[in-house]
Amino acid sequence: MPNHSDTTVAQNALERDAYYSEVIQKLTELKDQNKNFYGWSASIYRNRSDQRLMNATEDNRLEASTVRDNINETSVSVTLITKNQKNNTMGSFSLVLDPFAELKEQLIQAYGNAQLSHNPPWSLIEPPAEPYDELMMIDPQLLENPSEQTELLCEEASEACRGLDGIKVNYAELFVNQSSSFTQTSTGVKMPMQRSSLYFELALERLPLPNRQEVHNKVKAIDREGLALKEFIGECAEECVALGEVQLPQTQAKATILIHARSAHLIFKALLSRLSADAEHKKRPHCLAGEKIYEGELSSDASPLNLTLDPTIPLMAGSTPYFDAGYKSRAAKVIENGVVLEQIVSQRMADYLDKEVNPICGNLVIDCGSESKKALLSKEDTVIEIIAFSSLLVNPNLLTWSSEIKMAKEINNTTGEVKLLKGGVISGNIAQNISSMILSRETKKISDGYVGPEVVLFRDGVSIAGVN
Amino acid sequence: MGFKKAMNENNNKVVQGFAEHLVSLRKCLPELVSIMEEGTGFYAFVYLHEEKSQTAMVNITESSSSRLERGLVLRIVAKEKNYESATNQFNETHLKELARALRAKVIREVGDDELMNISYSPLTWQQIQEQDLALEIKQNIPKNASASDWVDFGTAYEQSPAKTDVAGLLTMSKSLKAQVEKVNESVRKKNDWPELASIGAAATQTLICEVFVDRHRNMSQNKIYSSLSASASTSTGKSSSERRGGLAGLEVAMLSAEQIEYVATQPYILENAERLKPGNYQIISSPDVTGVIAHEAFGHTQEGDTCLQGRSIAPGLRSEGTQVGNKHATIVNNPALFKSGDSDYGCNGTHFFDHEGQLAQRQVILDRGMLSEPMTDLLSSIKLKIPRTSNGKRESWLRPTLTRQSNTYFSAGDKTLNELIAMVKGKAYLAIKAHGGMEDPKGANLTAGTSYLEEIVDGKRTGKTFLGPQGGHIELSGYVPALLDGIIAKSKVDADSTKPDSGAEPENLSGGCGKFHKEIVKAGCGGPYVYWDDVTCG
Repeated sequence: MPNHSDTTVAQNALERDAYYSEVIQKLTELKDQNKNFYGWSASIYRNRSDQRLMNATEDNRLEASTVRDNINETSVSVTLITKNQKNNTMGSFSLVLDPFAELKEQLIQAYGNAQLSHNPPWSLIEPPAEPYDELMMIDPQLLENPSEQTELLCEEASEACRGLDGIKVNYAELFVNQSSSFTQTSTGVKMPMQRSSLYFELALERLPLPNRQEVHNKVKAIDREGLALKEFIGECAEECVALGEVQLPQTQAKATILIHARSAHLIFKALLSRLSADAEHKKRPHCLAGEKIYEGELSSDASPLNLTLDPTIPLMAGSTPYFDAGYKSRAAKVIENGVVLEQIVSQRMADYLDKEVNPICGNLVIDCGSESKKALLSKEDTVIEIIAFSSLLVNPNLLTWSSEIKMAKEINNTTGEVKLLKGGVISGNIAQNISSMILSRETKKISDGYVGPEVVLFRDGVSIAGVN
Repeated sequence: MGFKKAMNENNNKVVQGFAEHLVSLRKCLPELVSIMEEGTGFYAFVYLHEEKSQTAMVNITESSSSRLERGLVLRIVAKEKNYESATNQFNETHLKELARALRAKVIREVGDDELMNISYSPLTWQQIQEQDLALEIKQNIPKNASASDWVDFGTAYEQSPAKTDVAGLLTMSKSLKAQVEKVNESVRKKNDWPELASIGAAATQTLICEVFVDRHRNMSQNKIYSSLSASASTSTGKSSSERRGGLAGLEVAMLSAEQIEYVATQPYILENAERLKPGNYQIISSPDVTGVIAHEAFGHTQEGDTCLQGRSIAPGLRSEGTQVGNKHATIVNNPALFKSGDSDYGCNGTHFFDHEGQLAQRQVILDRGMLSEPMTDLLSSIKLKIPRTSNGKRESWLRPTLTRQSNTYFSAGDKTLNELIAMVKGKAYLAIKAHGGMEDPKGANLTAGTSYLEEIVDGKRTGKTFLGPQGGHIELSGYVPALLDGIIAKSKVDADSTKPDSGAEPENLSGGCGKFHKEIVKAGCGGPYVYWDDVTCG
């Protein structure tokens, strides 16, 4: 378990940083002296990272070609908010402060800049009555000795790669990062935050050479355990061994596909923009409570989409005690059976749209279905299991997505034939996808911010361009 | 904060000089190099990066901000490895400690046996001056330049960036928004169209100062990037946007009447667009879509580090002498692109030197279907034993250098756009407005996104517009050698004129590039209109 005193020490050090303290003092003075100076927030941010870019030897041991250690950054940023008493408009200006320039001058100029913008007024956020939740967002071992942990992770990855048979490892990269920040506002809100993040990517191909295919996957986590390097490298190797002769997919206006959790995470995340009151205010496509998020009628055998946002899950990227500039975040089910239950509303949007603040945010938690992955794969005559998209591009405004197929398996359930597919373009419409999708009963947790079905079957709203 | 100024010899523009607030820091950098190299055969350099920007945006709300990023990287090259340390704490004592600590670490790692091995010998100014360099670079290097001389390169401008402020940027944005609104009101009345959900505009200026110091050189590049953009959207999310800008002062940040009309009108066209039936079609790509194809085709595939890692198909094809495209398939990577199309300024992929101090030079990476040697960063050049090119770039001082593209574009052809359209027999589509892309260097596949397609039948535009099969943008895809072998014709640089081109490079637009999903760097791309035979569209 983490040592809370370590994190508290780090946060206190940020709050007491001499330059940051001077910034707070100058902001306070400036606000006292200027009647149009309505409020401010000031943040100090510290970051430390190590990085290794690695190639492999003939026996697949990893050797660093670029070693970047102890990369350190400190910065202070502020936002000044002004309220013009005459015309009741508000403005704001954000800037990263320059330690090479005179502080007071920068703040005075920022104050002037803020007054140039004229927006309808909004309220500033007061400190919450209850204390913020304490969340575990940092790997304590990383906090204690980051360099040692970087070396250990490199060794662990190298050892796991060395054991791979019939495979050539082409490239690996490790990024180890820890950051801490402290934000204070003119109303007395104080928001300390400390996070670690780990990133590993691996590119490998099947022997013998030459090849025109490689597996290239990446994993992110908050802590070493979550990164599960051995398991990740094993999965990459399994995918690599399965590479073989590939074909282009057939062009089809309607395809049935099975996608994995990482892709499902990206696609479902796009729905959140529809739930935001900000979208309503900016007149972008949005959904109000009670409106359905899918198109047409729900298919009778479709899995219901039940989506909860949860900011309290330890060691998950979407977790945070804070919402907006100081509210306590809260978990809530936001979509039930494809229908929106609640909108996400910030303070400013609450004021603009005459709504209550609704501080919902966090990791995507999606209820699983009742059928197994195996059952989903045999649900239609032909099912295409997307093992990897080349670059899944999701448009939250239009709720569409598209990508080239990097690797897929086409399973013909009538003949039992399985083909490997590569190339072509696959595109989808999320609102149509949801109306007849089936979610697996197997669960997958991705520390990037997803807990939900391991695979999802889309039967509508998917088309493929390939060969005729 | 002040900047030194110099007059450009080519015209009466002023050239952005070195930032005065960085003078004292720059003075201590040579000593850091000496500390890192002392008593070893290591090659060391220092790279300082500063990027300051001001932005103003007006849409339904108004906002403005400024951003600052400044950091210093220490690099030692030893035993074919890069070792780096980086910080944004510029206390001289601290920097010297970092340099000593990095040297000590590298000595421990390489061992006594390798300590005196020469890892890399950098070029002197004299050797560099013998190279074929662009005038914009050459004219700034003094004849007998030595290690102690500060050599400064800078963007030429008419409107001084010292006069840029948030008030001015807000005024520009508000004025542009008002112009789009006015045109929109007129077309709405004329066509009985509904109101748009939003119309917005943004103005930005970024000042970038980079200093590179090694044992032979102490140089800086001082770039100004200015741009103005407008956007509009319907309530269903059908949108349009236009931007104008580049490496210059705010004098270039101005949208044409045609661009303003496009922003005000196009969302309605897209609202009524048909959906494309997925399949394979003939395509004429507009210059920005052409650029993305160039970038994703034999751009990424010709990146030295990717080749070195065995992750690109290019080295194998090159060694076999395989032709990977027809006579029209010529792709250039050119960081020294200080003019393109009818613009007398560069775009954001343009630089004077890369982040490892290599001066910019034009390179043909695919010559009429034949692959040349790849682009390189320092390490891939050492390991592959091929010449260095100016492609060692990093996302920021917080990230490593990799081989990255600068401005990538197809060479121009000899047709007008109307001639290309007239060549169409049956059906083809004009691909407009680039919308991302993705490389697959190992498989030699690519995808390039286009916002929409305009239909052409039997040599004439039909006036029909198409979105993707699911209502989003359209991905263009294919096996790169097959795509490049299917180029039917290309337009001239000035695709509207029947006169011969003047010799200018094709138009390049500013953009960004991620390498395998991350490490975002500035990169331009472009080219002429290109007529492709068979492209998968979905």
